Amino acid sequence: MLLFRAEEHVDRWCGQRGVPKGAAFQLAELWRLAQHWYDDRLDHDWRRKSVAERQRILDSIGLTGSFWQIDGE
Amino acid sequence: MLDRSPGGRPPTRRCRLRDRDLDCTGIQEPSGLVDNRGCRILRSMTASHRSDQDLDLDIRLWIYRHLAEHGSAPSALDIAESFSIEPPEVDDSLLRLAKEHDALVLVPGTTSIWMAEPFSAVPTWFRVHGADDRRWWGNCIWDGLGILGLLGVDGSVETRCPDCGWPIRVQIQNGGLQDATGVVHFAVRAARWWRDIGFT
Repeated sequence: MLLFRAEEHVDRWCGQRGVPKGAAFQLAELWRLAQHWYDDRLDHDWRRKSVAERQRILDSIGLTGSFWQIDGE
Repeated sequence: MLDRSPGGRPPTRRCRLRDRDLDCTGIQEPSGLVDNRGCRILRSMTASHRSDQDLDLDIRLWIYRHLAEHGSAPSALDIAESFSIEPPEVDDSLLRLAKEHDALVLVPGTTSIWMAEPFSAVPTWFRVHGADDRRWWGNCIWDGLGILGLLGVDGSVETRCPDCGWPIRVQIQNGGLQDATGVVHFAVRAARWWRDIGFT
């Protein structure tokens, strides 16, 4: 996941490298995601979140649709 | 040393921490409170490890606390000395943490720590600055912000636009996003994130 100056920079970067454009969104959403995704990493009994738990976090941020389906393949 | 082995059976391992390892001050949870859980865990290392699972959980947390405090991963020797175990036991634990628990990413073909998400053990394009003067590396912009979120500290993530090289600084202050300049791009769909985490 990379941070670009603006969306046209994403388009140019993808075009020059032949990388299909994925999903582009705002930092505010990423900050919300980052706060929830790793919130248990300093717990002693940590275990990796299940697919369902991770999917719920994405859904709660509004990251829905086929691109954001963890168990989509 | 305490012996908490059930039924008085001999423990499979004994770990003894040096005094410096018991200093838990300065660690903050997202709530901003001193991490009493971490102290409890560190103290628990004075007891015997009854299983590989116990050892793995303790080592995993110790690695995370080391990264949080120092911004760098401990070496296998650091771990061996702090837990008073032999290097092969450390290697075995690190491999289990990577392969069975999916808790670490190791440099391929080694037991050197590459990632303990959201931390990177190697320099990246995502430099994280804590307001308390700590420094870390994030694996990506998500992880850079994830470090600040995990530790509950204000700070910033500095990177550059991959297209034009323009420096971008994302500031977190009072727990909120202050400078929202920039667009995040995920090239890899969620179902494939863990196929090649280095690329993702």
